[in-house]
Order: sequence, then C-alpha cells, then structure tokens
Amino acid sequence: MKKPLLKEEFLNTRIQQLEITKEGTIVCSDNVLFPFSIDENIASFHPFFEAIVGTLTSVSDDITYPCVNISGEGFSKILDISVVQRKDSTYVLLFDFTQHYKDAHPLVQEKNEAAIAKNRLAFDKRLLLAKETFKNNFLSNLNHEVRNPLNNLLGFMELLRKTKLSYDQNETLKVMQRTGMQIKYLMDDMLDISKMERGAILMQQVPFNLGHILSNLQQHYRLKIGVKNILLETTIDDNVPKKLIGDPFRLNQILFNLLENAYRNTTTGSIMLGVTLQEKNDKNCTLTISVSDTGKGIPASEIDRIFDTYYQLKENEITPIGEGLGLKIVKDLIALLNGKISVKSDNTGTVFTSQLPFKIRGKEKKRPTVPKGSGILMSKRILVIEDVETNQMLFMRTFLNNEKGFILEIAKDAKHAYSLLEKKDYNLIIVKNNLPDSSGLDFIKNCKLDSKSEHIPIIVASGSTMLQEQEEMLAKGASAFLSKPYTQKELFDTIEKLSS
Amino acid sequence: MTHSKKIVILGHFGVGKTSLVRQFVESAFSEDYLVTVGVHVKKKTVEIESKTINLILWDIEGNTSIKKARESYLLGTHGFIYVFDVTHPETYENIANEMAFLSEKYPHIPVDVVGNKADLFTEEFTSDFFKDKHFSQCLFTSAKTGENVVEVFKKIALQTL
Repeated sequence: MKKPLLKEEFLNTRIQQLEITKEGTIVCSDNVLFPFSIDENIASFHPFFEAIVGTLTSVSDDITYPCVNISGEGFSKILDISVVQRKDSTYVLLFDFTQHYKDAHPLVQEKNEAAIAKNRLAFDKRLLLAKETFKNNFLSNLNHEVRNPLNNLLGFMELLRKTKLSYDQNETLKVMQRTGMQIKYLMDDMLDISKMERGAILMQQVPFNLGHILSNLQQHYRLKIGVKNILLETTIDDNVPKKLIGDPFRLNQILFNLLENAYRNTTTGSIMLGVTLQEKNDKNCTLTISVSDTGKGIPASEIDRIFDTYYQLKENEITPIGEGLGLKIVKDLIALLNGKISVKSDNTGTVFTSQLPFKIRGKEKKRPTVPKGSGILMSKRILVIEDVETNQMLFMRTFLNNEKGFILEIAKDAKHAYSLLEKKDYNLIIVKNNLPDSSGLDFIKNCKLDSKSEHIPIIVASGSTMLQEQEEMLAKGASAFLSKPYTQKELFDTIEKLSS
Repeated sequence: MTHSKKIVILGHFGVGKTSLVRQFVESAFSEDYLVTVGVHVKKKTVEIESKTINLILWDIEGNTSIKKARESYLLGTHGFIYVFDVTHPETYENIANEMAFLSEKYPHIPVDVVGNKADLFTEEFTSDFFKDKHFSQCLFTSAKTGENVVEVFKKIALQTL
C-alpha cells in the first residue's frame, strides 16, 4: 500500500512535537513551527508556556488549550496546544490552526458586535420606559394635587353664581369660571394622554344614540361660533345606524377635539362634520367620520407631526398651553377603538377622515313607565367625612337650600363617622381617599362589615384618577367614584342615582 | 526571588478586558473593538512589598457566563479579575451567580470585580448605582484614561502572595 505522502507532508508542516521536563527544559523538538534549542526552558519562549510550566508537577492528565494566540518578534500564530503525559515523559504538541481561526474571526466579530448593539438597544428601551413611567406618575400626582384645590375653586364659583351679583360681578365670574374650566379640561387631557401611554384607559361598550352626540356637538359649536363668519354643517347619511354600542364618551371626545381643531384654524368659510356608512352586517358596522374645514391648511412638511404631543401648528404664535394635546388624544383614542385616522390638507383647508367600528343595537322592548307626578319628595340624610375646613365649607354651601331634600352631616374623621353611624340612620356616605385616622379603603371595609352600615351606598370623592385605586375602592364596596373637580349637578345626580 | 502568577481576566465580551490588559502592559488604548478569539497571554513584572512578581495575564475571550469559558484556560490560576461594563447592565446583572460559581469551583482563589468604562459614568452615579454587596470592593476603571488600571493589577498581585 502506498504511503499517504500528502497527509504526512501536511501534518509535518502543521504540528510540532516537543519533549520537556517537569521544570520546562526542552529535551527534544522537531522545530516544525518554532526553532527551540535543546536545554532551553520553554517558559522563556512565551508567557503562555511560563504559566503552564507551573502546572506540570500538579496536573497528571492530558490537557488541551485551544486557540492560543502566540506572537512575538517576527512570528504570530494561533495554536491548539496539548500537554500530554506519557510514562515519565511530558510532551507538548503545537497544532497550527492560524488560518482556521483567522477565517472564523470576522464571523465572531460580527456576532459580538450585533449582540452588543442589541443589548444597547434593549437598555435604551428600558431607560426610555423608566423615564416614561416616571413622567406618567409625575403627571398623575400633579393632576391629583391640582384637582383638589380646583374642585374648591369651581365649587365656590358655582355657589357664588347663584347669589345676587351685579352685572359686572357676574361677567367677571363667568370669565373666572371659563378659565377654571379650561384648567380642568387641560388636566383631563393630560391625564388621558398619561393614561393612554400607560395602557390604563378602558373603553366602554354601552348603548348610545349617535344622533344625540352629533346634535349636542352641533348645538355647542353653533353657540360657540356665534357671530363668526363660519358655516357649521353636520350631515349623516340615511343608511347610517344611529342606535349603536360603543364608547359614547370617547367618541364625543374625538369629535369634539377634531371640531375644536377645525374651529381654531378657520376664520371664514365652513366646518363640515359628515358621517357615512363604510360597511355593515347584522351586528357590526364601520362608520367613516370626517371633519373638514376651510382653514389655513397644514404645510406638507408638518403634516406628519400634527398628532405629536404638544404640537401646535404655529409654534411661534402665543396660544394657550395645552391646545396641541387634542389631536394626540384623537389619534390615541382612535387606535384604542381599533379605528384609523388620516389627514389631507392644502391651502384651501384640511380634512380629517376616520373609520371607527361599532356594534349595532338590536330592537329593544319598551320599558313600562310610571305616571308622572306620583313621586313623593323624601329627605335623604347624607354623611360626609371630611377633615379639611375649606372642603367642609364647600360641602355645606353646596348642600345649603338644595331642592333635592338632601340633609348633610359632616364627620371630621373615621372615628367620628363610626360614632354617628351608630346613632343615626343615613341614606348615603361620601368619603375621600385619605382620612386623618384611616384610609378611605379601610373605612369602606369597616362600613361593609357592620350590619348597620353595610347597606349604605358610599361615594368616594377624590382628586386621584388612578384607575387601580378606583377599582380597589369599588371592589371593597364603594358604590361610585367621583373624580374632582365635579359640578354640583354631577354630585347630586350621583347621590340621587345611588340613594333612590 | 521572582514569583510567576497566572491571572485570568473574565467577563462578557465587549467590556474592555483586552483594553485593560493593553493599557496596563503597553500603556496604549484604542477605541476600536476587536473581538478576542481564544486567549492572549501577556506578561508584566510588578514590585509588591519588595517582591518581584511576574503577572502572566490570560486575556480570554468574552462569555456571557464563566461556565462557558474553556476549563483549561482557568486551570492553575492564582487570581481572577472579573470585568464588567458599567454602561451595560447585562454585563453585571448576573454577577451574584458568577461569584457563587467561582467561590464554589475555585474556593481559595482571589477574585476582584472591576467596573470598566467608568469614564462614561459620573462618579456620583457610579457609587449610587452599584450598591449591591458584590460591588462593595469593586474598583471602577477606565482603560481609556488609565484610571485605576495599575491599581487593579497591583491589588490582585498582592492578593496572590
């Protein structure tokens, strides 16, 4: 049989064999890769060998060191190095894999660089999310802090309006009320954005009438436009179903913001709100809702930015803060409702077109009605637990001379409330989150454990708008959650609903 | 008398192990990242407490875990330097497990933890950020500026005596 010469030649040029003593002295070497001298110590050739000589006496097993970079003056190789023990002799085998490892290097470089870039992106994302969470929490807390005094401000102004005022005083008060309400809307908008970014907004699925929403909006804007030279027109196709199931509050918010945007950017011409049917089956439909105006239009370079937070068309104009929030809210709400929105604009005006899905209401049975005038006005005793003097005063003034027959009593803390509840009967309790001697949650829990108070409806009136907090309160037995600032009507309507 | 001490540099890839060794041995630094494949062994002689020590520095390829390092590289070591990148949490998030592994497998071998790329962090942030007990003896280095680099190697050299 022929000797495999090529293989032998290949191996002879790639593998070097050395025999060394336990102290590292070279006994013999074939010098295929590196020229070693007999009696030289291998440790002096490269620090790698200096390190392994130290292990020769303590390690008896064969060891392989893969991919060792050995370089020095005039040489550079990447080797697999095996230390083999045979009887009393120690051998070092050097396998030259320089080319193999060099070929693999770019792949490892690319892989590591990709992994580092991926990790950097993941970290940046985490950092961004942490900042967002911080911002949202900050906004929620700020909102809470502003809502409490704002509630007092609006509440007292509402009461003041009912007193005898001169014409000038009344006009001044109207301006103050409008300004107060602007702050309230701004706080609501900020809160909505923060909630949407946290995924904390829940969409309702309740029956509503589309016609009512559109006619209310039309009425509101006709009054607002007043003498301004603008025509407001609302059209709704005959085939559009009016009795729908969805979130009327959010739909109203979307349309209100789109109309507000059109109103702000239009000085003459018209604003049109149109509703057409895009598709429909027995249970569902998709409506196309468009709001167009003949305003100044949006420059093409800015059209992609209009849905950003705080974007205002003319940033150099002095406009009230918060006016840029509306379109951001519209975009986010439409996304939450599984809809779409697009915008087209030129110098003759702007058209916002949105597609929104709804469920269609089936035919309802008529409810039996009670003849009017059969109700008897019964007084209702209400217990309010409130420790802050200004808030107490607002409650007292709000309930003073009310025509609903509400009788108010105020407890300054939970202990006081428990003692009143023991002595008297109440139709309803109003409590806040933090009492001086208890949390609102504990107070509700205790009331629900007591047979005398377990049946009494409880309203939590709070500046907090945290959904989790509200849900927790309701789960523990609260009947309703009233977010500050609220109007007298909202408060009385809630009381009537719960105590009837 | 000269002592030879094998020191293995451990840590994730990209944390700057090679740069630390290069700064210590050659007083040089490069911004370019060149991946280490296998192991590079360098030597530097230091004087510690009137003793001459040859530090044989095994700059091994980076791994996401010490368990993945080639076992033969760690054989016969006198000390470990565990390097992480202060700007990349994934390079130190698992440090508790890494330290537990070393103390179980190499119970008598000193380990120093080093937070590299400290020039990218403010000092205030660094000390506030790394409050965990595993960082209590940690030295924060910059292979770029040379900050604390010599101190790291002198510290481990002293611990090996």
